[in-house]
Amino acid sequence: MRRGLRDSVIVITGASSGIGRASAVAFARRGATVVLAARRESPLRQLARACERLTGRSLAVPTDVADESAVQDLARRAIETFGRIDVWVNNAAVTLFGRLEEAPSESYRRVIETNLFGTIHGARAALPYFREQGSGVLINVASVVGKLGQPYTSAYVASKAGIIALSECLRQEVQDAEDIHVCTILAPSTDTPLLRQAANYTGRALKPLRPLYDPEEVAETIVRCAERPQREVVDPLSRLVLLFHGLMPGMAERVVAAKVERDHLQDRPAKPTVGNLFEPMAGWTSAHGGWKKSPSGVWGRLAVAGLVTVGLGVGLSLLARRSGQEARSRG
Amino acid sequence: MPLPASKAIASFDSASAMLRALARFLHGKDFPGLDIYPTFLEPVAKLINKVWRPLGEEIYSWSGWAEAVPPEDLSDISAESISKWVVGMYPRRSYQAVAIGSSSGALVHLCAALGIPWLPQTFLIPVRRSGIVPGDMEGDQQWGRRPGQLLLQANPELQLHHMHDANQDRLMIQRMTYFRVKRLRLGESYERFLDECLAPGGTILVSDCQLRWPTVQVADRHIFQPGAFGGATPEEYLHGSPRVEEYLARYHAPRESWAAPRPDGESPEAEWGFESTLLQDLERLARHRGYHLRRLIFADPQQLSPLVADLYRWWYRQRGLKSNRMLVESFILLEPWWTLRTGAVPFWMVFNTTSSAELLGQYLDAVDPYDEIHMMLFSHGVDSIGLVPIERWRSLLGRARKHGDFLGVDEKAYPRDFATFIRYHTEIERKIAARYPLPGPLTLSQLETFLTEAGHYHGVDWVEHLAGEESVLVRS
Repeated sequence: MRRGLRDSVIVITGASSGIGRASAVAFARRGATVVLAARRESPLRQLARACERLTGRSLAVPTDVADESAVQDLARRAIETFGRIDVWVNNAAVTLFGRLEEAPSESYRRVIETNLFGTIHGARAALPYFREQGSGVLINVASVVGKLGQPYTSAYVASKAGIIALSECLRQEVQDAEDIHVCTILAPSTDTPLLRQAANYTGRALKPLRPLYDPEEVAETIVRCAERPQREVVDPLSRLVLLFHGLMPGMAERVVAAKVERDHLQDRPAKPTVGNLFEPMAGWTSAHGGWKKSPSGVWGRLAVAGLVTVGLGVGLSLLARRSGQEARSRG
Repeated sequence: MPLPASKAIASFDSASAMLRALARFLHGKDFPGLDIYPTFLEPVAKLINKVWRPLGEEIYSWSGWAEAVPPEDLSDISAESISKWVVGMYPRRSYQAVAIGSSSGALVHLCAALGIPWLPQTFLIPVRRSGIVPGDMEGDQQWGRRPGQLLLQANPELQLHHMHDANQDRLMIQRMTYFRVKRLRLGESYERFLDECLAPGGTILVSDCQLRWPTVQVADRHIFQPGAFGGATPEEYLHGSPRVEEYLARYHAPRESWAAPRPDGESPEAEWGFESTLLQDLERLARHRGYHLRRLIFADPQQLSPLVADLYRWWYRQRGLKSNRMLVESFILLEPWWTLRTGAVPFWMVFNTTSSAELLGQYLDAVDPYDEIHMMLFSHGVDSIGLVPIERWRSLLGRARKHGDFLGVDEKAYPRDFATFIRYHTEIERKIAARYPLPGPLTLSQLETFLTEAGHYHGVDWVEHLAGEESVLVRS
């Protein structure tokens, strides 16, 4: 039987910054015991101390999720210290900007290894303990772009698409155990340090797509999912975008490609960088990425929702007119 | 018109219960209430435990009588109908092997692991009779002559082992007697099942329990067995002992020992022993069809238990399971489906007597400790010779590193805990949280790998049987 958060042990990967850090604090505020994993030891231990002040129990385990034995060790340490793992949040991620054929192949592979294999390693570490306990919640942080596609970020997108598919498979594999859950969070564009540490081979500086969510908002979604598991969590705006994509995939691809070109890449040049793919970078250990100068918040999202709805309406009426014309010409 | 097999065979017997458990497992189902008692009767069963003891014993005794066959109907029993009923219980598909022969709870778990059926050699036909008190073995033997002949004349492929166990079966044999029958020939139904369901080049696994007992040859294919495997020794049944005297005094019997006929030989033990005549048909079939014939030879039915327990532990390690728990089972209280679902290592005990407790203790001494031990305990309603008191079972549970408990056992009521026939099952789901998926079956080659790695097991041999030649030892 699953426990309340206050008695639960939560493992979070990628906890040293961004959504992971915000999630750790959110869980600790609710009294959960948190086990924090990331490559950077110093910010991790700092965060563990902060969480201990909130909850009294935490553990920092420096871990590179691309290394399966390290992730197994993370799980083992959690069990040895606290006796159980109730929730495992696969959140660690890196990203790379560049055309598929222009990005160095080892960098490309590293994104897949960290994001997709890191999630696989986490699931392989957590599920045996969930089986033994008869309960557990596996939360895989994917991204809405995993269902949409996006230029210049195919390594990241492919890894997130893989996580979405992996989660679906795992949900089917645990159907025999009513108290083991696998959840996918399709995170929207969020103000985290991810882009600050991205590998970049586009020649242009990066900026996040707007509207931007706060990492605390995504963290609250993760906490709610731990309490009441859902198979896939998508924010309302992203749901609208996905609907557009499902109904008019060709048009959606053209719209997304144009938006990324205009709003994800700056005009300012930037030299190639491997970012934090192979070695963690110092700095940017906060939850926020510092992209939001002012809260775009609800009004920004409503504006985008309005644009998408209008676009959907225009697109659907164009389609209807074309099919009417075709029917008349056949008749 | 033959008597339907379900009316001829005792449902409370080891062979039929184990058959039902394994058949249900192969159908993907668990084994609640021995497949006899609906689980919603649990509150009623708990109430029976609380009633006045003699009433509880009467209910138990009459429940056995209700299944017994009137002696005049014995000629309507057909061994072939029984075999047809047996094979009808299993899913019709291709199996890598089929087990045939002696009963053993450990064998049920081995077959479950391999995903294969088992065709029993021996069944119990309970026969109604009156006028014979428990302990009057000579009287029972005499009584059984004519009914035995009725049965055997109708069934030339059967051998009758009429048994009388006044120690453990005291309640049941007040109103009936035990006719255990063993197949000497394979018969049409078993052969057809092998033809249809054993994969080409597959393996016939002979379950060969070597347990023997002093017996009396009553007539051709008619054997009488005084006593049975359990808490008392053969000598105690025949010649008495201080324990027998004390037991008889406890039950206010007017004698100090049982009236036992003098044995004139030895035979496979009635309930558990393998009658090797059946091997001739198995050799013939294996030769004609190109099957492998392997014999799993074991000294008594629970000698297989350490091997099977270690097999499961090894198998779970191969699969990366984190579990380290043991499920101790007792007589017909067994659960192959939930064993795998909870990642438990099964350790089957033949009964609730000293030899079972000793075997379990020896096994726990020899292996890495288990974090959890969960134990079922059969109740037969009698403070019989060799019965292990609850305190000793509890001390064995204490060998668990983290947690040991009973499953469905009313410690105050034991050995008159009749509610355990339902609660052994309902408490597994309630008390053990772990949930593992049912795996695909082990292959025979995986079993061979385990046997090679594991080394020798006392009282167990695994032999490639070649007809007409010296048996080649594959494992010893």
